[in-house]
Amino acid sequence: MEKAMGKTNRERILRALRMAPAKTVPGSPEGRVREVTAADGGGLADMFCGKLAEQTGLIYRSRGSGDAVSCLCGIFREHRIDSAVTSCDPVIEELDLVERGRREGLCLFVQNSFSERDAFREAVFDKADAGITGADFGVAETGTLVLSFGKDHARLISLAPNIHIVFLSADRLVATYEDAFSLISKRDVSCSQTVLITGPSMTADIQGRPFKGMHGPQKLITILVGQPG
Amino acid sequence: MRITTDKYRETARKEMADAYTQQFLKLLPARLAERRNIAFADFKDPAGAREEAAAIRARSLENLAGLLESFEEKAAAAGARVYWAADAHAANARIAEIARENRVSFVTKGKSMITEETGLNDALEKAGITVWETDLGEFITQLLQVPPFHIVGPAINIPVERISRLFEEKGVTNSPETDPVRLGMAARRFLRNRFRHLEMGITGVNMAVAETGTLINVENEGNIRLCKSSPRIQVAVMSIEKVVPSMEEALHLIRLLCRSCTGQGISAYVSMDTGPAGQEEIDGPEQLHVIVLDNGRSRIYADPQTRDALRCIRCGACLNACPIYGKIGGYPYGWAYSGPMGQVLSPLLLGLERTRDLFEACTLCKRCKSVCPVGIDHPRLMLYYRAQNAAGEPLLGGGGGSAAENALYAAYAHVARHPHMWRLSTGGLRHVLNHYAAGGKISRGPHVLDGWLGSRDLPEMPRESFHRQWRRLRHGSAPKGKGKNGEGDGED
Repeated sequence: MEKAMGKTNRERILRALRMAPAKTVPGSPEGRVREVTAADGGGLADMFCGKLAEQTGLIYRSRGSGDAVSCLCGIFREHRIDSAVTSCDPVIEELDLVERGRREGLCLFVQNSFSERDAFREAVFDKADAGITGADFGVAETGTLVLSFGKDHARLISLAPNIHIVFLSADRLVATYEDAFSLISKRDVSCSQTVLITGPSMTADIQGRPFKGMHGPQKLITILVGQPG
Repeated sequence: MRITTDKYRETARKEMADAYTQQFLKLLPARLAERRNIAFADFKDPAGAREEAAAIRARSLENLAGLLESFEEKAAAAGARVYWAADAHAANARIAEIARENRVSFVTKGKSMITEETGLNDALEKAGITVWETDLGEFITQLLQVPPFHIVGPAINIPVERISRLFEEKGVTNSPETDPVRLGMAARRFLRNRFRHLEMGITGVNMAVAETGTLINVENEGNIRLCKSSPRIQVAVMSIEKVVPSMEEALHLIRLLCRSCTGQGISAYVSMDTGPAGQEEIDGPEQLHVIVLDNGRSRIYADPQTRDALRCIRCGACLNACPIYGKIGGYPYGWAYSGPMGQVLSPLLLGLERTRDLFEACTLCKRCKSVCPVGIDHPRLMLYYRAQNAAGEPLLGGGGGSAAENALYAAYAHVARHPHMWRLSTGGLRHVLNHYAAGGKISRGPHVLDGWLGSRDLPEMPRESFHRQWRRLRHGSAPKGKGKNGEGDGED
């Protein structure tokens, strides 16, 4: 077993690869061949919203942090949400969403009120109708949300409840994935997982009949806060 | 999964006679191909975007050893435990060991072609660990114990009545249900209970990034994200060719993969892991194990001709373009990989002789090549396999052809080197074949030609060969011949 899995094996594989004859490879073509047409022309916000709506993401616009909570209250009523779990990522903290939401009578659990994994899992799987998070970036190219997880932003909040509500600041809109990852790579703190989300969970595995919410959220609701920078 | 590549013809005949399968094959590949074409129109330069993806995959392979070392270093620095496995047995044994060490009684799996290839489910079940496939299509095929019908929709061809009976038998539902959405929701509830208490999740890897040590998975359902978010232990199985140099290059490949696979600009979820979750995180894996698996790929890599097959990113566009797949579906290919992707990969992984029907069942129409986002020349590879199999190439598992076939070609070579014998035999053959002609066509012939004439007609042979006619026209009369109608002379 050790021989099959150990250092010897690693070296054997790498040696075999290194001993193989070299081959001429094609070069990259000239021009901006990685670009898609959606990435230029028109405003980033319109492109982002249009593309995300194509993937059945629901989009609400909030003028600023001042009315973000009233927007959230409206979403709770419209989608019959009784309770939600929230992350405590910088976007949520900046909006002071939990305190202001509670003052408005929303039933919100905050992830940092859980110290045990199992209790947290129980809350996100069984108790919360929705999960509320911030997004690091919105990518206009395909209407994609970029979320980075860490101690203030648990992974399951955007995944286990039936509805995912995302606050995205309009000044976090970028044109391409590369733009978002270039900014992520400049951060001091690295994160264990980054996810690109474009629409709710979906499948068409039975008879080709599409439906939402196979394993993840059935609805993805994005609240775009403020005007693009 | 039982490998049935040797039953290709038998299964293909069965599938061609199955009206239900045929109905799906008329719709599914064409619909996916159309969606792909629309999605590619997003690119400013669709051909350039594909050339770029081909260049990325080609240069990744040329520097494979260095990229793997870099990936390992970065992933380990981020806290991942990296293992190198020579073959399927070693990889499966290590995964079972991880499960045992952590006293895990059941695991969930995200859709992964590599663990289909390694037969991980069977290995874990033998070790006493229950495995739940969690992609809806894979969940159904696992319960039915059938191979995937299509890489995008593994169970898309299964009638709802059969799924209804299956779900009732397995306790997924309590009563008959034939609505696809309700069946899907029943599977959601059933599997959600597994995710809720999960201790170990297993996934494949779509791409690995050398510069950051990041693992990337692409999906629509969210089951892979759950496999990576809910449990304390995450195991990722990655074959050696998955690594690319940089995140920018991976992002471009994701653009191509999603458009080629389902016609989406990007799938619902793309998740990227760099090491396990931090100690202060309330979810995510405390342990991230990465199995770097060879399973014959370093051998495939050693031959520059076959190395190109390792460019494959498993998008399945070639399935939707292939006229053969469009008639027979995924089952005849007899393993994890179907369509041209399977015709190219399975022979290299299982050996040529064992899979000869796969690479011989190709009309060389090149439609697969025309849609491949990473520039694989499937027809050229299949011609290479045919030649290597006939030559009995040991490294590729070539069988060397049957005794009858070898005798036939030896006789042909002998006759072709001796003009007199050539004239005699071709003249005779012309006479024999014309004996079977009807209505200007030859649709049947001596028993030895049954296979060839089973799907093709020949035109009735002219009474004289081209050379004989040419000489006659040139000289105003036929040259001296010995046989009736000039047979035995003038052939070339």
